[in-house]
Amino acid sequence: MYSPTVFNFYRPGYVPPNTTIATAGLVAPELQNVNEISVVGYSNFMRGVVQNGTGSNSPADIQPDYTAEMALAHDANLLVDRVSLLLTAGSMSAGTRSLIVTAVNSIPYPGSNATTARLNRARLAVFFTLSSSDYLVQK
Amino acid sequence: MRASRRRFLKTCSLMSIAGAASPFALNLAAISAASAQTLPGYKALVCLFFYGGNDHTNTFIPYDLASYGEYSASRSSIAIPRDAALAANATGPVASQGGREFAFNPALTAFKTHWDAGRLAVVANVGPLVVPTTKAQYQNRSVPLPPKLFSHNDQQAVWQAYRPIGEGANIGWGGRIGDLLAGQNANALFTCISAGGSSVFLSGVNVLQYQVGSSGPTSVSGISGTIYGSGTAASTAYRSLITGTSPNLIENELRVVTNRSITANQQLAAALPAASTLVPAIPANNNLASQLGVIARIIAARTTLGSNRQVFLVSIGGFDSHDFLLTQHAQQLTLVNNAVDAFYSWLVQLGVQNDVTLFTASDFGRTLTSNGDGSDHGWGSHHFVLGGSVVGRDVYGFFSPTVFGSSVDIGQGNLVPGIAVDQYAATFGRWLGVSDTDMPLVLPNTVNFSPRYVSFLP
Repeated sequence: MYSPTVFNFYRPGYVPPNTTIATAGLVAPELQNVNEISVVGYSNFMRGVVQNGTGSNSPADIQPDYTAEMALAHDANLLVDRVSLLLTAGSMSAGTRSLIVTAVNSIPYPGSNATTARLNRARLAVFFTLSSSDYLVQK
Repeated sequence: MRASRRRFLKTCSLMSIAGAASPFALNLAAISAASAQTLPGYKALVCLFFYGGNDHTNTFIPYDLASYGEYSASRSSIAIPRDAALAANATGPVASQGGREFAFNPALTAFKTHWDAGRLAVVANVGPLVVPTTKAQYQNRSVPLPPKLFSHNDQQAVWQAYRPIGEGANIGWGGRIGDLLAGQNANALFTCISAGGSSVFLSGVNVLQYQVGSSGPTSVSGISGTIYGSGTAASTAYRSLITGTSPNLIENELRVVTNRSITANQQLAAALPAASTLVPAIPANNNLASQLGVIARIIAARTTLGSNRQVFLVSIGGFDSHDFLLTQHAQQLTLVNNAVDAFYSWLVQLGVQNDVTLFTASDFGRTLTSNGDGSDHGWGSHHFVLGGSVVGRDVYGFFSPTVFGSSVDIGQGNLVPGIAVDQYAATFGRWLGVSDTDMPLVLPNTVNFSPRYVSFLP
């Protein structure tokens, strides 16, 4: 987590400077570890994890299992509905949903290999959802 | 949680210092007009923060026989031996300190070189104060004191904040300097840049602390090309997904930061010279050197980026030496020595060695007394200022005898500072272009100290 001190990130009175949050007179301790580097690092890290799993060995110790998602992946709407249910408790906004459906449909199905297409579509739906503020901000 | 009470108190305290007749917001408007005039040339400050509280006593060591004798007796088992390595780093007699001699820690060989060349100054016993404070005043608590002395996170914030208000401060004096001088830059985002992590120091009222990684700009891979065999429509959609706006304030801010990150990375990636262009090469296995390398590359791109006045932060941890002082401190100072020396070479390579000033800061100094294997939390500390514009080869302030019971010893050899952070900071602010009139906006307590500036920089 790269906390700058042993006292961690979360100062209860933290106001992110020069933001609409500050203008509104609110505090946002959870934004104390959000910065221009962390958002890039998160996105690039998750892209790899969704594809390759995570862990210290190769192949990675913890592998994702997309069996259930792959079964729906011929239909982008069905696939995104499921991922939305699992990762955003069904609260995905219409705008986010529309962008993810568009992206999923950019992977041809069945293409040259239907199984590979289903896997890639499942990965893409999960990666996009994990990157969305719908998932990242618990409401 | 609403912060209205907190804000109210903050506004009140600011007004009481800035003068009740002149609300802070009005002052800001006045100074932004005053700062609108273009300042000539390029100038930048680099704050090098030692996290953990640097043991100043073993960093800049009394060396003449009488002074070393005091030092050695006080430090006992954690004294650095007066051997050939120390002799090689000795300053010779320093007139401003009554002809006493000092020596840089044996790891700081380059600091000695820069001292000899007249571009490195030592500032003795600097630390946070609210008003000038004597030992008796501290002991009697007869003057206001910075809050929560000797506490890491509080004193980091006190050092970095525009005035000593401790943990929870969210505006730093580097950021306030940036507020006043951001108008000098084509892109205000590149005014206050940290390669050393998030800090209070570079947060202003208006300017943001832009953070850059120690390896340089990093792009979001998902916004270009293909993702898991997708068409390019996916990467276009991905960029929209992670940027854009949201009615939810926290979601929105996350997207704003992401968008700023992408835009700034693209600007920097296009403008920055490759790390391999720096001579000498960036020292390996030295994160501080990597941070300074990125800063040097950003300075190299100053014309492309339209930057005229910049404030940077780099940092290195590992200074909380309650134990293993002699070995661990030497390791950390070796990293500092190599990183800072390389940085100065890069400044010369870029022809900006007179336009960039680097200074050190830390949570606090440490006890003179040994705890057996290290030292504990203190207050005043010695610091270094390096650059072609620095009036170097001198020790500023009063380097008190390294004995217990001295005129500035408040217990265990901890020092009540002789030079306030406000005076140290104001000296950098003035050099960068903050006017005497505007200085209280950067450092409200600067009015409490006379002289306001220390003479190591014009």
